[in-house]
Amino acid sequence: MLNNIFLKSLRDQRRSMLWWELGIIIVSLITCATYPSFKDNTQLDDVLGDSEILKALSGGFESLSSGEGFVNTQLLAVFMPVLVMIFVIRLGTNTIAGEERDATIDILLANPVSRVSALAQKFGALIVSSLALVGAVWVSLLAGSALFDMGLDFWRVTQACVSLALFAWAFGAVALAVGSATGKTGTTFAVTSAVGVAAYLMYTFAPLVDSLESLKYLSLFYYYIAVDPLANGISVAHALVMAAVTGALFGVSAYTFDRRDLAI
Amino acid sequence: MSLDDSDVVIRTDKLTKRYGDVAAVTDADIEVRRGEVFGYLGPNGAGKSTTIRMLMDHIRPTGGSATVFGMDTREGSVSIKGRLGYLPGEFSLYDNMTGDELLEFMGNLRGGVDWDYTRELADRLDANLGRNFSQLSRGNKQKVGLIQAFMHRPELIVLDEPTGGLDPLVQQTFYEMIEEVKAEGRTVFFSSHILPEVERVCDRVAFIRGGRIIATENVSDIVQRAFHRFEAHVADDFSASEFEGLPGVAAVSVSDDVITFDVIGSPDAAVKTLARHDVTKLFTHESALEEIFMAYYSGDEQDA
Repeated sequence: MLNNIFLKSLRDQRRSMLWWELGIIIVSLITCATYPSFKDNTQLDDVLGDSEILKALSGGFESLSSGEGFVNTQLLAVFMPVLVMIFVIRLGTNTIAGEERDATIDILLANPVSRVSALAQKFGALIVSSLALVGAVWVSLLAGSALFDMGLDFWRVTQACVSLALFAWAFGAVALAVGSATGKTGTTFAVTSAVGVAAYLMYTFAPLVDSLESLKYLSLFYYYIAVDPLANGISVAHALVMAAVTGALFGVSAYTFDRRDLAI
Repeated sequence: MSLDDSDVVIRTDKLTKRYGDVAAVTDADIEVRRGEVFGYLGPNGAGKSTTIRMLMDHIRPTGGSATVFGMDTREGSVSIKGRLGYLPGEFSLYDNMTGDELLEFMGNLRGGVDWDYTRELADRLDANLGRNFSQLSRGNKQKVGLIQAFMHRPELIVLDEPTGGLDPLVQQTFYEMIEEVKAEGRTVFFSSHILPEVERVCDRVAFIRGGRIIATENVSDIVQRAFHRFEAHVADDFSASEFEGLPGVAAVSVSDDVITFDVIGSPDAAVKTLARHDVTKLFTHESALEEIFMAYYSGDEQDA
């Protein structure tokens, strides 16, 4: 695990990864376990359908009685993306800015490795770690569906998780870009968290006001879940938007990091 | 003096680093030759680390240029780093790793590590490689830092204040390691603010102060100018005139029963004169490095 920067970065995650995975699986399964009591209760669906605000709070979904609607409102619309966001913001912040704060980058970059290569290897580790995290979501949803008779489709669950992974990478790339440009962990964490909160608000609440509705197109939440991948499958166009955002932000990271002084 | 490029390992040409209006390093010209141990000497905050970080391409010059092994520090960064070993000044090691793990990691990134030599260095420095860095003292981390800079027997070793935190015994081992590197024809560039250390191991030294290189000299020439201040407490009668004019003695002054004077070179004459008296206490102070330089370079240098 010490062969290169990519593997070393994954190794750094191994302990905390275990807890994150365990947490996600436990929360998902407990949530799924409550599904049977919602299943036959369509009154809640009526309430959600009548109130734009409640619907917005549930991430834009109006059914709790279907397995898809339940998982969307309880897990995929808000809880999981926020959790995944926290995970990748933390990782993305530590990627470059964290090594500068800890002054370990001095020794790391004393080796014959270019800055861009170090950045790419570390971002590669972020991609893999977040994929592993989403993998826990995937496993627990499939298990929950089977255990509690939710009737989720295997391929749709997979597609919803692919969408979640793309969302995670894009937010990780936001943190990476801010950290690469500034070298400051505090700034990186604050700016990226603000982007996350703004993205959530722009997707869920801006549409309540007609004049602000088009703001949702600026939100990664929109591309992540607007088409309801769990019920309808992924939108290739939306997936490409998230991938393009990730790629572009990686480009920005490499450009800025390669041109500035290390903050040491 | 300009030498053939193949004999010059580090060359800087008017290397300058400014942070806004603050000049950290100004017009630094350094030439480090193959096979020499070159000291980069100056008080804290003089610009030593800034210069070294420019050589490492960790920060970029705002003026001038630098080459290592004949390659520009920016364009040739990766190739340069493949041929040198570096110990930063204010450095940290990964808290979640042990010394063994760090050396393995660094070895994998570099290749060409001589593991027998690495074990030997660890033994000689008495380094603790089994513990996480979060549990190690500054001195123990410094040992691992030194090992990683030497372990692949690089052509050039760049060390920024390497002896801070090392106990005297380990410092001796470190000086021996430097001498061995020199004996193999490899080059060492190291910064320090301690004259005796530079005296002990360096062939040449550049003195930097306020971001400007004031002088570059052979260490042997500087040592000749180093003076010791003697302070003797004498119980019986004496006069300043006994000491004035003795070979190598200067700046004689007397107050009550205390006589102070500076000695350059051999203290033999002064000691023999003192021996005729009833000396109750005797102190000697090594002249501060800066004083030596200032004594010779005052006038053409303003405070930064």
